[in-house]
Amino acid sequence: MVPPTLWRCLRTPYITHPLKLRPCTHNFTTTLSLSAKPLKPKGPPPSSKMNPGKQRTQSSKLRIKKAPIAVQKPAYEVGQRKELRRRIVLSNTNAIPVALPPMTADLVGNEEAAGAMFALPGGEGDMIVDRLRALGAFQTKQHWPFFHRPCTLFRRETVEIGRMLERVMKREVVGEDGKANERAILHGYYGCGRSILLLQAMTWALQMEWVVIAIPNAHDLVVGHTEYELEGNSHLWLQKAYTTDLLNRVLKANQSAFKQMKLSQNYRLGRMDEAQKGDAMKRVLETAVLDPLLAWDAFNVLLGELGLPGSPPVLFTLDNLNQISIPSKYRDPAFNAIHPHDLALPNTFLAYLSGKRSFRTGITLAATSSKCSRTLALDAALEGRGVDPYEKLDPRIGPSIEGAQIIQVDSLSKREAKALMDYYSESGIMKAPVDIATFSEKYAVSAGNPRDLFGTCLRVRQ
Amino acid sequence: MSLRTIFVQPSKLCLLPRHTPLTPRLIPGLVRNLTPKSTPPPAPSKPVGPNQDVLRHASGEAAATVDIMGRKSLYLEHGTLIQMLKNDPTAPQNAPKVSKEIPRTKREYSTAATPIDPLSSNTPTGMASSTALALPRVTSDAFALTIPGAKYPLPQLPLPSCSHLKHRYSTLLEQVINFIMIGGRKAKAESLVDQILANLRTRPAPISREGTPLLPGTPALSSLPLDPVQYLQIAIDSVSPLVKILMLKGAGGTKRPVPYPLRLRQRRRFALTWISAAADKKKDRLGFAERFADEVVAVVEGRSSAWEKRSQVHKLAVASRANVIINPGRTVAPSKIKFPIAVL
Repeated sequence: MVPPTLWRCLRTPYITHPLKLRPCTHNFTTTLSLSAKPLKPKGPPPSSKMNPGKQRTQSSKLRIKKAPIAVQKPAYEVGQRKELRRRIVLSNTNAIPVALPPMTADLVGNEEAAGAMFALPGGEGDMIVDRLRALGAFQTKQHWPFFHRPCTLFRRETVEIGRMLERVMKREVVGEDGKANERAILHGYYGCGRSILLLQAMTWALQMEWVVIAIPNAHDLVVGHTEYELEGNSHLWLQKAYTTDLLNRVLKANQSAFKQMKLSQNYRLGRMDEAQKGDAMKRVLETAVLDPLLAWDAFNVLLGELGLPGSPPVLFTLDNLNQISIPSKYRDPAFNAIHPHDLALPNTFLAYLSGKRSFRTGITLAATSSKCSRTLALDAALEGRGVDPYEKLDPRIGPSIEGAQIIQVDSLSKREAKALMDYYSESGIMKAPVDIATFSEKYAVSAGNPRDLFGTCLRVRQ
Repeated sequence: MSLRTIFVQPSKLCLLPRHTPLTPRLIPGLVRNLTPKSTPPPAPSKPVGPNQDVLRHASGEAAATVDIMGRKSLYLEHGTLIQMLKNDPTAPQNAPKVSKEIPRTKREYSTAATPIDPLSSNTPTGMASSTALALPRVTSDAFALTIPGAKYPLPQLPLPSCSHLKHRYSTLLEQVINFIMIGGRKAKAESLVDQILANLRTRPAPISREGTPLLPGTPALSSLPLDPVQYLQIAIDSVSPLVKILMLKGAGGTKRPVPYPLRLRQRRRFALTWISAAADKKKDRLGFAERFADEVVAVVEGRSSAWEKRSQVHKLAVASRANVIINPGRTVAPSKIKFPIAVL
């Protein structure tokens, strides 16, 4: 028998010629709807076994179903990583507690205490550590998490700062206008303990019920992460969000001092609000903290009140001074980089540092940093050499720190290094005994630098 | 003998100092201790009684604390019953009968169940801290003292093994660093190891779990965070397998598993592989150092998956111990013998 496919192959292919007429087909039907075939009535579903439609669905079961797209949980919440990065741990329960005398206010300027370790006062009910934490005095990478409680070394530079506090307290440095002010910059090599010295100054100031205003990292002011706006009158750029944050921290740390401060006159806050004469400073700041529009005015009110007679002594600190000596990341409408001295907060601090403005009784302390790109103008100013006219250095940097005392923070002396190493050993985290050979080795390798000393004693990689 | 299932006695698995020739004859710890059936098991050197390891009584403990603290304690004077009886004249009347007799009694013999040896100082050297040196603590007077005419005293010879610039870390740390290193970035690996150690320092001390076969001679777990190198070492050496299984071709297309003993470095490498594999499976997206340190703690606490892998290998090794190649089939000079395979 001949298969039918063979005949199909021999048939002429059905190809329409483009020029020939196509077979006529109707596009619509003229049959009446009544004469059309009636629709099938809906009956009961046929048995599943013989149903070809059902079989088809069964076969479709074999197809791989697409997995539903799972919404991946984000690894970190918004801001969680930053919080983790900036978390400050101040104690290690594994370390052996070392009995050390607290760093009380009567040690201010005590020369004999130099070269010994002291614990930060932090008993029950004593909130100094919490207040310091609120001020941002502790930093990560300062080795706090390795020890049982925060302790610091009393150094020669600490004595110097203590003397400064003493001079201001006894009003030995009163100027013509009856104001006692001291201004200083802590300067030295990397890891030499400038920030710790600021912390020690703050510890004393808080214990003596001074008002402490601290800008913990000037980098936050210039990095361009906070909003900013131009103020018409002073041609300065305000950072209201940052100022609110700063006020909040200052308020947390100085509750009791602000409770006693009363306003000496009426002030205007923002456009609408007013602060009456005799109001407590604490109340004014508490309202200002809630509204960023009031923060800058409230900050100015605070600074103004601190310059009046009868106000408490002030410690105004700023860490990482280098950061406000190089162009900021902020831009003006013409897209020029804004000079950091045109930002309101750095401008205010530098006014106090250079003596243009002053507190009734107060100390302005700044610390330089090593984690910053080169600041040739600041280096020249710190060394006290004049700017070469052929050098293209920023002419505004020199005058901004004019007249400030420069405290050179040196490397540790042998006695101080011994005290520090004994502390490591007593805390149980350094296993090697502190004998003459070990001590000389570690001291020589670290060159007396406190950060390197910790590294040589406790780190695998220095 | 049940000992036959164990290739190397765990008590012998202590750390060897650097550059130790791993010749089994020189180190008794590496020679397999076969117990012939004819010889009876050695008697324990000291009879172990039920009261041997208990804590001392209250005043004895207080005295020990006073001894450690180096100062007088009021507790000892006031707290003991005998003192109370001595100080208060009315007390003996009201005291129970037993305590009335105690002050007068003076035995000339000891009633202790086991004779107490004087405290011997030879603790296992392998478990001693790798960072600690057994030097006496120097007082401040000696601290100021130097050899006249010389700035520093002469070094002690031979120089310690870690005094070489390129081998300044312990063998274990160097191996961990090299294990972690990717693409030759040693500095990065070193800083990672540093972070791991810092993590171990600051974490809460591990909680001991019953049945975790930690290395014998492990100090109290609460003291481990203060010596993170030892912490890491205990974790790695405890979980490291004694043997590896090689599949050799057998008759009729079968494969037969053959256990081979491992050297210290090889064993540590297996342990590191398992620990880091378990660390990488962690769901929390932590940093590497944090994950690894987490896993090290898990190993010491006995809840790491590395333990399962280890016991799997050991079970298979025990099951296939008949396949061990006793005669390597070639003569090996005794000095070339690296590990106990040849003496099996």
